[in-house]
Amino acid sequence: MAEPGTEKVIKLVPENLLKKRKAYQAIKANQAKLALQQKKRVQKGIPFKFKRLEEFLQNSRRKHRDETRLARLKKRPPPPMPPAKNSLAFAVRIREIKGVSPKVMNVIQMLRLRKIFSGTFVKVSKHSINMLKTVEPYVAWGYPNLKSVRELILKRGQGKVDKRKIPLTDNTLIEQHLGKYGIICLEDLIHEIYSAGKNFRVVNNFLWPFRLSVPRHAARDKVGLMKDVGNPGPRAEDINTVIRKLN
Amino acid sequence: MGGLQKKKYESGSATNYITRNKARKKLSLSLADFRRLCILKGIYPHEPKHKKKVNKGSTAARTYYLLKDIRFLLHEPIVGKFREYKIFVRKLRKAYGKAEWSAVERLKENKPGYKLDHIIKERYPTFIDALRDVDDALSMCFLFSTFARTGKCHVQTIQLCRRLSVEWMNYIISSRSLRKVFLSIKGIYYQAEVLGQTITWIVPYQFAHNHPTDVDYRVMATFTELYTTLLGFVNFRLYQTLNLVYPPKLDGQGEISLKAEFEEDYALESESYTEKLSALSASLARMVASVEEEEAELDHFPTEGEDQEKMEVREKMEQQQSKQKKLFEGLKFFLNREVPRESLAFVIRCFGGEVSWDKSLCIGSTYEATDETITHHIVDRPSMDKQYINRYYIQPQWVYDSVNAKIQLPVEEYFLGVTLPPHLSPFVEETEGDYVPPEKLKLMALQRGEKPQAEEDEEEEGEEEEDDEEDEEDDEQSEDEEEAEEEANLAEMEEKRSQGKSLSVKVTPGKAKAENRARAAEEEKAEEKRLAIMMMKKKEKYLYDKIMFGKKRKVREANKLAAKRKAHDDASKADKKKKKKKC
Repeated sequence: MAEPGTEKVIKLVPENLLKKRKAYQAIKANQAKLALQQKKRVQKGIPFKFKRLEEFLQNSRRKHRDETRLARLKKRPPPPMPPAKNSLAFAVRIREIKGVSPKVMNVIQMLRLRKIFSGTFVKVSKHSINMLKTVEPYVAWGYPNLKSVRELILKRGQGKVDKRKIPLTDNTLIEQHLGKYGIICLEDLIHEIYSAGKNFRVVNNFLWPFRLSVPRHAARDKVGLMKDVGNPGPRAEDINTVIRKLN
Repeated sequence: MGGLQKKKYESGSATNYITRNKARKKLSLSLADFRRLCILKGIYPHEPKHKKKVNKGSTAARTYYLLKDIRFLLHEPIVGKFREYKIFVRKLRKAYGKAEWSAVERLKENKPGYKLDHIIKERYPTFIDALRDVDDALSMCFLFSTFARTGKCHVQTIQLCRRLSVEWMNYIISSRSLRKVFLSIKGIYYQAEVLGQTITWIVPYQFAHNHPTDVDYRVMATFTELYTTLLGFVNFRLYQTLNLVYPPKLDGQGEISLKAEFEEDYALESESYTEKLSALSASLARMVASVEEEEAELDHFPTEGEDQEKMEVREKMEQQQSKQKKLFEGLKFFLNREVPRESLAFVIRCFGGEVSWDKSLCIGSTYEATDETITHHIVDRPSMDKQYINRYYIQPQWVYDSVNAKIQLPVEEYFLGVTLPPHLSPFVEETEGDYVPPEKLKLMALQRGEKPQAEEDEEEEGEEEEDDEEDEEDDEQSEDEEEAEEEANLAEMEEKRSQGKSLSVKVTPGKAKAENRARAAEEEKAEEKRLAIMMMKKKEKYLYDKIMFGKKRKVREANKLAAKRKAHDDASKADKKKKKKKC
C-alpha cells in the first residue's frame, strides 16, 4: 500500500469543459496574432484601409451590369468577324475591374490583363472575339500595324523563363527557348506574332504581358487621361494611337 | 602708424569661390533647376587650391563653383523661365487639389517653356565648333530613340531623337562620308568624316534594355534636350551644304517606287512618310534641279620638294577615299529577316549599293527576294531552304569587314554556315614592334593587290592542304630569316665602313675569325653603351631607364600575344586533325 501522505489528489473535470477551454485558447491566440500584425502595420505607416459603403454599392452595381450585359449578349447574334487580313489583335486594359462579374474576371485572367494598362496580343478567331466582347467595357483592342508590333516587342519585350520575366536583350535566349519551333532571333519572333502563324500560341505565351506607361498624374487627372487613352471596346486601327502614346 | 590689418577670409581664395547652396540661393532656383542650368550652360564645379581658406577654416567636404561663373549665370534669360515654371507647377497643383478641371486645362494650355537656341549659339560660335562636339549628341540621340516611354523619358523626346538620328543617317548616306564600322558588345561604332571633322558615334542594338537603377535619367534627359537642339541646327546646316531639302523629302522617283499596296499595314498614315525615310532605301530630294558638278581636280602649284611630297601623299589618300566611296556600286543586296536591317542598309547605301528586304519586314522594300539581278543575299541562319545560283549567300560580317578593309573581300570565308574570321577593330593602328594578328597581315596583302595562293591550294583536297600550308609557312619563315641575316650583314658592313676601319687582308680560317670579330664588335658596343650609361647624370639615367622599360614592356606584350596566338593555332590544328580522323 502507498503511503497516505504522498498520494496526489487529481481533480476531476468534465470532458466537454476541457474541450471548450482548448478551443477558447486557440481563438484567443489567433486574435492576439492578428492584433499584433495590425499594430505593426500601423506603426510602419501603412494606413488602415477603410472601405466606404459607396464602394460596395458601386461594385455591386458593376457586377449587376456585367451579368445583365452578358445575359443579353447570349440572346443576340454573335459579333461579326473582322476582315481576313486582320488576323492579329492587341488588347489593353484601361479600366478598373474591382467587383466585376466572375465571368469577366475569368476572361481578363485568360487574356493576362490583370494589371491596368497592360496589354497582350490576341489571335483573331471566333472564340477570342467572343472573349473580347465579354470584356468590352474594360479593354480597348484593335488591329496593330507592323510598326506598333515591332516597337512593343523591341522596347518592352520580356520573355518568361522559369516563371520569371527576362528582358529580350539577346538572340541566344530566344534561340534556346523557341529554337525547336524555328524561331532563332527577335525578328523571327516579331514575324511570327505579326503574321499570327501556327506557333503564335507558343510565342505569345513566351512573351510577358506588356506593361505600358502612363503619366504620373494620371491617377488624379482622369479627364486628361481619358482624353489621351480614349474609350474601351473595339478600336480597329485606332489602337495604334494608344500604343504610340503609352509605349 | 601701421596700416590697418585685414580681417580673415575677405580677399583671395575665399572670395573667388562660392558654395553650391549659396549659388543656388543667389539665383533663386531649386536644386534641380540649378543642376539643369549648369548642364545647359556648361558650368562645372571647380576644386579650389586652398580648401581650408575657401571654407573659412572648416574642412567639411563641399562643392564649389567659381563666383564669376555664377555671375555669368545670373544674366541668363532661362533663369526667369525656370522661375515661371515653378509658379506654374504650384498653380497646377492647387488646381488639382481643388479638382478644378477647367483651370487645369487652362493652365496646361499656357504651360511656360523655353528655347535653347541662344545657348547653342553661345556655346558654339562657328559651325566647325559644333561639328566637333556632335559625337556625344549623336550617341545620346541614338540611345534615347531606343528607349521605352517612362515617367522620365517623354514620348515627344523619344520621337524627336528618332527623327534627328534618321536625318543624320540620311545625310551620311547622301554625302557618303562613312569611313569605319565596328561591332562591339555595347553597340555599333561608326566613324564618318564630315567637312574635315572626324565624327565617331555609337548606336545601341535594337533590343530591350536592362535599365540600371544607378543611372540618373533626369540628368541624361537634360543633356538630351541640349543635344537635340544642337543636332537640329547641325542637320539643317549640313543639308544646306549638300543642296538637300530640309526637313528631308524623298526623291520623286524614289517616292513613286516606294508606294505599296499594303502601306497602311505598316504604320499610320501620318507616320508613313517618316517611316519611309527611316527605311533608308531611297535617295533624298534636292533643293534645285541638280546641275552636274564638275569634279575639280587639285591645282598643281610648283612648290618646294617637301610640299610636293605632302601633295603626293594627299593625292594618294584622296584616291583611296574616292575608291572606297564606290565600294558597293553596282551590287544589289537582299537582306534576310534575321540580320540587323537598319545598320546594314545604312552601310550598304553609304557605299553606293542597292538594298532591299522582305515586304513583311519593313516598309520601303524596293524589290523582292525573287529578283534575279540580286548579287548578294545576306543571311544569318545555319541553312536556307531555297537558294539561287547566281548570287552569293553571305553572312553580315562581310559587309562590315569589306568597309574597314576598303576593298571587297573574297566571299569564301563568309559563306552560309562557315565559321567567320575575327572581326578586327579599324581603330587600332599598329606601330613598329606591336603585335599584328595574322589576319591583319593577310588583309594588308589583299589590300596591296597580291592574290593569296590559298585559292590554288583549295583545289587540292584532304591532308595535302595542311602539308602544303605548313611547307609554305616554313618557306616563308626561312625566307624571312635569310632576309634578316642579309640585312644584318649589310648593317654591319655599313657600320664598319662608317667607322673608317680598314680591313686587313690575311689568310685565316674565315668562319672562326668572322664570328670572333662579330662577337668582339658586339661586345665592344655593349661596353661602350655601358660606359655611356655610367657617365650619364642621375636624372638622365632615370629618364633613360624609363624609356627602355617602356620599350621592353611593349616587346614583352607583343611576344605574349604572339605566343597566345600560336597556342590557339596549334589547338585548332589538333582539333582539325581529330575531326578528319573521325570522318
